[in-house]
Amino acid sequence: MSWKSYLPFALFVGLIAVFGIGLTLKPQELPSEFINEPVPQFEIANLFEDEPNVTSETLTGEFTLLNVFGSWCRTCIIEHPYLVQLKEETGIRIIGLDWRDTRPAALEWLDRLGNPYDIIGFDEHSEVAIGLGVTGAPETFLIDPEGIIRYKHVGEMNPEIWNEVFVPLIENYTPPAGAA
Amino acid sequence: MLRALFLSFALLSAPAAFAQSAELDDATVEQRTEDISRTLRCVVCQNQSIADSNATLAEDMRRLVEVRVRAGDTDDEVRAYMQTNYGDFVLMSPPVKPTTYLLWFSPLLIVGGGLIWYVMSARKRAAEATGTELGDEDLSAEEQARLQKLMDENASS
Repeated sequence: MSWKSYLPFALFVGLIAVFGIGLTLKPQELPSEFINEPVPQFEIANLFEDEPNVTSETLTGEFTLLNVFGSWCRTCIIEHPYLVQLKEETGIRIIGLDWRDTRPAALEWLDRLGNPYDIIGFDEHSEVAIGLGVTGAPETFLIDPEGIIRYKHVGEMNPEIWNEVFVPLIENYTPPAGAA
Repeated sequence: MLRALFLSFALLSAPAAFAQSAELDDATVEQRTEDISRTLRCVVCQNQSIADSNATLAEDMRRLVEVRVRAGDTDDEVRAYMQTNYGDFVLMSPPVKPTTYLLWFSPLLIVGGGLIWYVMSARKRAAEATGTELGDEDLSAEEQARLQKLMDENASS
């Protein structure tokens, strides 16, 4: 038999390989358009109505986690204890974005599970979420003191992600020349 | 004086002109929102446009499209806004650029390659076919004479 008779079989194996690789990809996790880009400008109401609005300026000044959550979000319940623990252990500023939620539901949720957030924006109609390219909750952005987004993690925060991705990014940060 | 008059006239008419162009009637806004929504991909249910999707995020994206249309953005400006947030992925029809050449032109390559292969193999077959049917010119003078002799013998017997 000539080598040509093996061609269909080779094509078949090739296709299986392509589809096999395709199965391991996660098309739900879109790459963020904002890595190493400044946080887009926004201003949004505070979850606590008597507190000032949350703006993109609020996110600058120190390393900040911006955590998109909602009381309707199941994975958020799973990650929540870790956020509480992270706040206690590291003291890093965590700003929440309560997404597509109602105020009573969110407040009840925080009462029940604890509140690791320094400030919480209330994004009822996804205005900020869409501006940030959020596709689902939870998502956690790492924002440097200059207000530049350094990383976006889709899915629950956990010790592995924190130690392997977030900590090195924070430790290797060098402030831009000329900054105070 | 004339200049001042002209200036005040321009200042007075400017807001009116602006209002006129910015005031879109609801039907137009609705139609344009619908049209733009058809070209934007829902990032939750990724094979639907935000016009077709019932996902809550798609709902909010439609809302935002409408807000932007009302604010005076062109269709392309609305799409560009979504593209800066979500990347090329959010466009139902990906833009033609170096990274997407393979996507856009591979069908052409495959059809073109197939055509070339077909033409070449057809030519080869044709060449082989004429090769088996020998014409008079393919025989040497000696062979011609022998053939003639054989045929004559055949005819006489």
